[in-house]
Amino acid sequence: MKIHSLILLLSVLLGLTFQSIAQSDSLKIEKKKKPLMIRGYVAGVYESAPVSTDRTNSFGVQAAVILKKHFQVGFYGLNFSSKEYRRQLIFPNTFQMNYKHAGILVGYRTSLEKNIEFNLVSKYGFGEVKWDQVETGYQFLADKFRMFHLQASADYLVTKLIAVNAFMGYRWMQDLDITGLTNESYTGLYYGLAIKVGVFK
Amino acid sequence: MIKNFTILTLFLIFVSGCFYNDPVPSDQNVWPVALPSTFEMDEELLLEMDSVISIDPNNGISSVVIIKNGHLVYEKYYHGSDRRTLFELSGVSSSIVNVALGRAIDLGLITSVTDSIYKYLPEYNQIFEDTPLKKNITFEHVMTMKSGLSWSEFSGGFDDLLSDNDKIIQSEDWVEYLLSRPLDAYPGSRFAFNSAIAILISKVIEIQYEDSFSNFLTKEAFRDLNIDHVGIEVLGDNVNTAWGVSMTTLDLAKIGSVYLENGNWFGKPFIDETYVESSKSIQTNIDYSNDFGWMWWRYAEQNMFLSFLAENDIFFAAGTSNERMYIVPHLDLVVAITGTQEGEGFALSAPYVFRGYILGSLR
Repeated sequence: MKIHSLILLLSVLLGLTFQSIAQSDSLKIEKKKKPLMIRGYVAGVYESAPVSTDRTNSFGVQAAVILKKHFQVGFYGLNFSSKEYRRQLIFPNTFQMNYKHAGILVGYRTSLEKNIEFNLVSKYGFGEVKWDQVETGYQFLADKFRMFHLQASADYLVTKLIAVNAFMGYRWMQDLDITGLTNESYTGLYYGLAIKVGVFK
Repeated sequence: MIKNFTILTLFLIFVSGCFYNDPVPSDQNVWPVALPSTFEMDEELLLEMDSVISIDPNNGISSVVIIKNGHLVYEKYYHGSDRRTLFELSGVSSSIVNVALGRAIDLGLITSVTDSIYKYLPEYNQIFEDTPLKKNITFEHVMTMKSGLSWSEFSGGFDDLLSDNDKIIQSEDWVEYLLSRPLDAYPGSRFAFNSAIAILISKVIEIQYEDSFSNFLTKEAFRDLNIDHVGIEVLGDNVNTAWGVSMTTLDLAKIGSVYLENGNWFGKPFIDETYVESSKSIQTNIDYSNDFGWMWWRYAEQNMFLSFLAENDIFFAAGTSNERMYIVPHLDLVVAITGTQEGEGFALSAPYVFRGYILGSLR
């Protein structure tokens, strides 16, 4: 169902794109448009973020298009799933906490002339926290949440198409209601690294 | 430009949605969680219980939940079951029907436990007209197993006779079979154990509610407890509320907590307090081991089990496939144990688990 919906949406997007190309062709005679320069990137992301008294190491992806050189709009997704965060929680079981979140991001870029670019980004996403029973892998408890991020980052352009990104920010969680953890458990300072591949200039 | 931007934003939200699409079960932790040691329960002994149950799938226990002092202190599922498993409750089903009747009275579907069942079962009028004494059978008589209707609970004996339980399952209409039994005694005068008799009560509730008993439980009776999954076996046109109710162990423990708190659910009245009091009080003395309330069991004063307890205020629901729900008011304790439904003669009986390990951990 999900795949079908995605195919449908992509088809609609392609249709709209071809339609706009056809329209622009028919207007060529009247005025000469500047060629559309699409900038953007995809990135693999590593993030260290607080969870209660510990920190968790999440991995994920991020992608964005750059509009008018400065503005970026995209999405992100991060997943924490490892043996790092375990607790007894409900006796006599041992539980492992996993969480993931994804959402949209908007940002602003500066210093476009240099190899180092600075970004201000805000992210708004939805996610879920799960407590899985270690012995069986059974998902015992789960709840959804919303998360808001504000972050500053710097891109170092290694080549024309590859950039290393270091970021640091603060995140706030809302709506979590699950045994053993609260919104405050996840709220705090985070930092990380990303490798971006794309067109930046 | 704006159109493209809108499409792009929608696309990104859609991609995010694809990443985030797992169905999430609701957090069923209605009680705060605490370690057993918080309430001076011996965790070593409980861990020993856990390993003894885990070691053999044929030992007869499929889950254990312990609520102590209003806290979830132990919850474990065994041999492939989990939190969402609906466990068959066998004879515990009758105690669930007792709760349902209390709720039906609260909701005005039935006037009182002293009402005759006769007036609620119009389609079986002829049976009552044929034996007018049966018109005196009340809900209370049904719950105390003093309906006076003849019943042979167990098969066997020298002639290897079929029990009424065997026969009712083969009959077309279970309510008719029950009501058609001859009267052995005047209603209300003599105890005769009849594990099928809860079917009469659930039938009345179905007629009064004008919907299935299952819907009555989930949409009406247990709604405030957030119990929304109850399985009830249906055989032919018969709804098996005597032995065929299935619930999760946590939901079962919720009912135990309500009865522990005299009909209240986290301070809010859920079921009439006097009804609960009567249900758990001794209404009938059966033998040296057990007494009986309104479809809840009690220990007789001579029961050796009581040497493990300071007071005899314990009451419990019991099923033949190792299901038990023990409620011990003076210890502020609810214990729900489900069985494996794989015959009798379990290596590990639920009463032994309760006595040897759970009560043992409190000594």
